Amino acid sequence: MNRLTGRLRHNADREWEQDGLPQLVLGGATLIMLLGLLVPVLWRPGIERSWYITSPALIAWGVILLRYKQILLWLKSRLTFPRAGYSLPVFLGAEAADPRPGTAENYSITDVRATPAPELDRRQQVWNRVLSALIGVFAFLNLFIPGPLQPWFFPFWLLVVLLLIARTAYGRTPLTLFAAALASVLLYFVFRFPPKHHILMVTACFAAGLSIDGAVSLVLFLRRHPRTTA
Amino acid sequence: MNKELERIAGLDRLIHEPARLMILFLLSSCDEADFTWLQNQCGFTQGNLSGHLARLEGAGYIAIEKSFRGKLPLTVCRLTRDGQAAFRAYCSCMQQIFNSA
Repeated sequence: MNRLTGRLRHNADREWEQDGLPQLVLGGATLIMLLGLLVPVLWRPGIERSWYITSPALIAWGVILLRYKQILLWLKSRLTFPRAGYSLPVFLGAEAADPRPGTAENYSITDVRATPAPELDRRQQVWNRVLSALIGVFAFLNLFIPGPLQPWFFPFWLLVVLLLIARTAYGRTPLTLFAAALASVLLYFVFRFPPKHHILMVTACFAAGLSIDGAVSLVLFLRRHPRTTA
Repeated sequence: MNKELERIAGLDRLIHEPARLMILFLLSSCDEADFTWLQNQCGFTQGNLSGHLARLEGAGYIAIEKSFRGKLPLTVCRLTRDGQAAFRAYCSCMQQIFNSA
């Protein structure tokens, strides 16, 4: 019986990711950040002026990632829940067996949602920490280091970090992401970009890979679940 | 009465019904779920599912919150603490019966 519950729980968790929206939100957020970093590179204004473009994009990225769950719920409640129904996986809600006093009836659904499960809490902590470090490094590399950097260190370090982010964010690393990682390494060998630009290129590959994965999953999901009239 | 048979007699009949057992299994696999999701998973008709949910709610095993999403009704169900305890007790009882069989 425990095995059956475990399998059902695994299915419910997997369903959360099947519609592709987690990937799309993550890919979209990264594209916004990328826009903020690419515009100064393309326009090449002074450092002070490029901050005006980069900062809002980085702030928007941070806000999207910090409000990740709320944005996902908002999108899902409009796109996928009306078609396939709504179920909140245990890792996003509160463990009902949590040792708080009282009975579950005393809590509203908002209360239940407000307390993350330990697993999610841990994931979010890792996620936020890695992303904060990444934002800082991106801003630093893009704006304050004019000369060439160590040629191998940053692309591969970044690759590992990006894969880690994807893994932490929604529990799996899609094939498109590996393809994007491979593409970025190949492009590095073909074009021999300076490392500073290559970092942007790796991010572009990552964001594109995620967005494509999300968009394809979403289209397939919507085709599998046609809208039913209530 | 034989102890093993006593266990069988002590099974919670409300949970023992296959449709309601299915619903409890599904609700124990997630934090909360709506009517459409349960219907998709179980394959019951609306009336059938509604009846079983009402019985489980009446026993205090599940909590149902009815609201509206735009103009569409939204019925969200979740397992209560009593429901979890009863479901766990039922599973453990069944396990013991199978082990002794």
